[in-house]
Amino acid sequence: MTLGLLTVWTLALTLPGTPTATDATDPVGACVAVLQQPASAAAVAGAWNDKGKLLHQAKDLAGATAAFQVAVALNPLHPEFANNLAFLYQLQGLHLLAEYWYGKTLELDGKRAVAHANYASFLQDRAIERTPGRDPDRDLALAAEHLTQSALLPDRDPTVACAQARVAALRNLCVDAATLRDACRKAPQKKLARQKALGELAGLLGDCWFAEGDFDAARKAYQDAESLQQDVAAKVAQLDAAARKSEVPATPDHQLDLQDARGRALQALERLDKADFGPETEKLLLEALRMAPDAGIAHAASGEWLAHHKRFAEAELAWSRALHLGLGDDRLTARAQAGLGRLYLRWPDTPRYAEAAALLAEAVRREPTRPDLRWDLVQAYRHSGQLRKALAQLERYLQSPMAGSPEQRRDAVALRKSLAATLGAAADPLPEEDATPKDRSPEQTAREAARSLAGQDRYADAAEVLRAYLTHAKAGPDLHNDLAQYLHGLGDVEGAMAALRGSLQANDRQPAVHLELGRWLARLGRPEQALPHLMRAEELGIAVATVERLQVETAPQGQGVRALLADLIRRQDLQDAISSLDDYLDQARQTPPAPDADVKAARELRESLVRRLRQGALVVLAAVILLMLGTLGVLWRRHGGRDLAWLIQHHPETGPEVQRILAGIRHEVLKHNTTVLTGLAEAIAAGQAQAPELAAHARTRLLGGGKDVSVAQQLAGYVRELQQLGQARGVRLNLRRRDRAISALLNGFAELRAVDGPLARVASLGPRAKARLLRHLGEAARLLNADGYEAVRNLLDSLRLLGVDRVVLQGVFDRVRQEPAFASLAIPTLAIAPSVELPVWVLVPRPAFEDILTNLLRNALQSSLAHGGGGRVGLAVETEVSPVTGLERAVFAVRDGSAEVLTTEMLRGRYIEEGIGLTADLVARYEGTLDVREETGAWTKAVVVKLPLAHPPADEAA
Amino acid sequence: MSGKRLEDATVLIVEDGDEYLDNLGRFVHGPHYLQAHNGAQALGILAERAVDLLYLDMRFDRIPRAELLGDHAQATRENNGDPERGWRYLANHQGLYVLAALRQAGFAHLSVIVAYDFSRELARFEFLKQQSPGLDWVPDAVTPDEIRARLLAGIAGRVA
Repeated sequence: MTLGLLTVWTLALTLPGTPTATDATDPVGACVAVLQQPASAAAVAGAWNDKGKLLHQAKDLAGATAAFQVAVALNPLHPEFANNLAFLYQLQGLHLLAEYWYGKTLELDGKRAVAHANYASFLQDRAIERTPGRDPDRDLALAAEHLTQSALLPDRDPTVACAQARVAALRNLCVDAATLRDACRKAPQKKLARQKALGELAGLLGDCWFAEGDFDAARKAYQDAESLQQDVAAKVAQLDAAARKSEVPATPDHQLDLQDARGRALQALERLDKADFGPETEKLLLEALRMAPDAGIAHAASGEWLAHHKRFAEAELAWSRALHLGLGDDRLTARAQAGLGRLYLRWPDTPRYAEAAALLAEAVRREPTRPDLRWDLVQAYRHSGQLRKALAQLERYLQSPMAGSPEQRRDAVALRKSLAATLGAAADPLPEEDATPKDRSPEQTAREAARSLAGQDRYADAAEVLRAYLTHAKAGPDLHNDLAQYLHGLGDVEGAMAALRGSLQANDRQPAVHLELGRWLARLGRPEQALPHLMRAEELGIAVATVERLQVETAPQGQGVRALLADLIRRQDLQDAISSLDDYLDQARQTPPAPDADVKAARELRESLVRRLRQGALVVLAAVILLMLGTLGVLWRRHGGRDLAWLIQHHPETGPEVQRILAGIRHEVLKHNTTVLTGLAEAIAAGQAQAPELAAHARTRLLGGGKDVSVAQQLAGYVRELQQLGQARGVRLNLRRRDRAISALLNGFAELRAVDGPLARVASLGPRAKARLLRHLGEAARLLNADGYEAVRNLLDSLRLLGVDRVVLQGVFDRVRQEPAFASLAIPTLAIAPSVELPVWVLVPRPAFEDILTNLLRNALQSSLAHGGGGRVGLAVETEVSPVTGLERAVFAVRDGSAEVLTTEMLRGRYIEEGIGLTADLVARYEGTLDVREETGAWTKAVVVKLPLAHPPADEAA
Repeated sequence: MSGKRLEDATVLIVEDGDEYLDNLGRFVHGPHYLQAHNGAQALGILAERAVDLLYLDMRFDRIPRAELLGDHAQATRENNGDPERGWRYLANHQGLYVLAALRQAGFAHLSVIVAYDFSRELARFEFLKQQSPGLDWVPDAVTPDEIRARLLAGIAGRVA
């Protein structure tokens, strides 16, 4: 076999710029560099051929094959390229392909000596291997013919005689072989090569003479072989044995041994079938091998035993011997091929997928009804990059009713989907590689080259092969799809997508390609580009494309709140998507088997959409609630809250403070406004010259801008005080909207602010603007002086809270008398002595007044009981008036007859008991006074409370 | 002073700020306005010049306490012994203390308009008027015309 290759290498390339093996540090890279340069197709093909040779030299058979395939694809008429490709196929055991390309070579150039020699070598190997389905005698005869033709051609190899001698020996033409051996001996070749060639030839001649029964000649030939370093000891031993039994033919004995060995090997196989890999099985195998070392079945069974014991290299050798020796029946041959194929498939560290694929393909051919073999073949094809073949085998696997467990079938379906998506479902699976090589096109050859490279994980080279092809020729969708697959394997997603686009340009009706491209684009975040492909895939009948499309269409837009809002806006779209997913899932249930992964993806998307819709609904609900709460809050802030009357009613203790603030408002805010506003309005209406100056004065005084605090600012300060008063008691005062008095004042100032501009330019106002200004001023005056002032006065009136009469006074005393301390005592009735007409009206809320009087009565009662007063208590009601201010006060004198000494200082001080101390505080709070005075007659002293006297309400006064 | 024109009248405004002088000067033209910021100043002016009418503010909370008329000790007693309340009382009713000082100084019959709303305290006003027959009042919300009318009535000795 070396002959042919060496010859190929010696052919000089005459293409300009073509690199040689020695002029570059990286010869393969150098060839690639040439390939990347613009050149004619012939030049490029030559460079690929060169590259193939270099790769072969580097023992990269697959790479070399791929390169030669490209060379042939680019220039199918060049016999050298075809010859080289054939030779590479031969080296890899791809017999049919090798034979096809040898045939092609000789068809292109029938006078090519090296092609004849190579083909003869191929035929000789087939004959020696006893390849099933072939006739060894015919192959050897054909090999002899081609060698003869080669020997007659001028460019023959000088050592062709050696090859002729070997073939003659194999054909048992011992005399011819001996003659040719002499010619071989004379052929110019290196010493070592000659020695090796002659040694092999001597062995073969020995076999030849042995078979002819010429033991002497055989012995001499074997001796020659031994002298030439050939190991023929076994053969010599056989020859000796045969010589000893010279009367009896050797063959029958050997046949008996073979039968025994075969029987033991079959027993061993039965044990192996029962998973018995123990010593008994081993013993049977050793016996079989000892009896007949050339019994293929013994080696085959040994292979299984060795593989089980993880002695992989020995197993490989055993199976190889078995297949070489032949097993005699298809079932056993298939078993051995499958065993070795599976061994390669699971070869430690670096599985040998291509070899596994070749063996398993043979096994499947022999045993087409075994799905387990087919499944392994699928894996071998798949991992060796022969995806189309893998898909074809997978289809056949799934068609088989015996194809594996449900889980395996599910895996197979998923794999089919994946492969179909990668390859494009529209493309039909390619025929078996060895089936119809004559139909192979340059494009297919390029694809196979690339696939072979990809099978060794050399995706970059595979892609390069396909790209080089595309540089010079148009290709069908499959080649683009292959390119996409390799580029994707390299992580070049953009390149892969470009390849898929190229594929679709060649054939738009590839739903799987549309689907795959759509998926990739979607994952790269290009939904606009993805959608047309996914929709096209749907249109072409891929149901799962709907799921993919919906994934893209319903992808969350943004994150967090933004995404939720987006979902709310397209709520109907999401609901429609859920309906579509329901349809898909229904359909998947009705037409099984739907790929589990697709169904799972659809279910997950549906659940996700439902969840998002629920979240959206919750958000809407929360938003509505928040909106309602917000609206209520605004409404409450605007219209809620309390007025001053409510504050005073529910917190009477605030009365004096409110009164003080209102008095301040009345004094600081309300005074002058009427004068200023009315006077200003009169001046403007009359067109007085001083109107602008008056307006400026009014603005400064009322709204601010001068050095003094404006009235509006004073009002704001008072309003703040009132609100703080309410806040201190947990009351939100809405003075602007709910309090009649304050709101009138605030609105009045708002009216003024509304005409601040016109006020600033009174002199230049036209009649209409002036009229409008006057209307606003009139309204402000009304609000401030009529509504506001009146309301403040009414509010102040309402603070005159309590009319004190006998009922009130007696009621307080009765409650004191019923207290535990007094309930059991005989307490005289309260002696009420009013010197004024009752009721008297005081500016004190009823609870505060009752607290004050209760404490005073209790104190008096205790004092009276303890200090000789007999429990008698009296109450005088009087009034007094200040001669200066004319202010009146109600005077309540609680009398007793006790001897206890009590002074005003004691009353007001803190050293007295707490009850009176609190009373002193209460009295002070309501602008009252607390004194002690001496009494005459039946009474010794009186505790006197003076409280501001109010005038009765209008209806009471009436 | 019967029949005296407003333009010929002299009005003494007694107030703790300048608001009344500002407003009357701007919106109630005619009288010659004088101003005093406390009772002592008012009495001093009255001692030196003829004044037809005194326009008197009620509350004087922007002048030093030392300038307030009235017995602070008494005011304190009447206000539960609280000196602070005593001062506040004097300030809030200072107009009436000035009025009392006028009476004591022999100006009991001087026309006086108090800027205080007695509409809800008519009995009190009557009590005060008995002591100061020339006393009148204007409410807080009053127009220039109303003030003018009161002034005219005051200088004519026809107070209500």
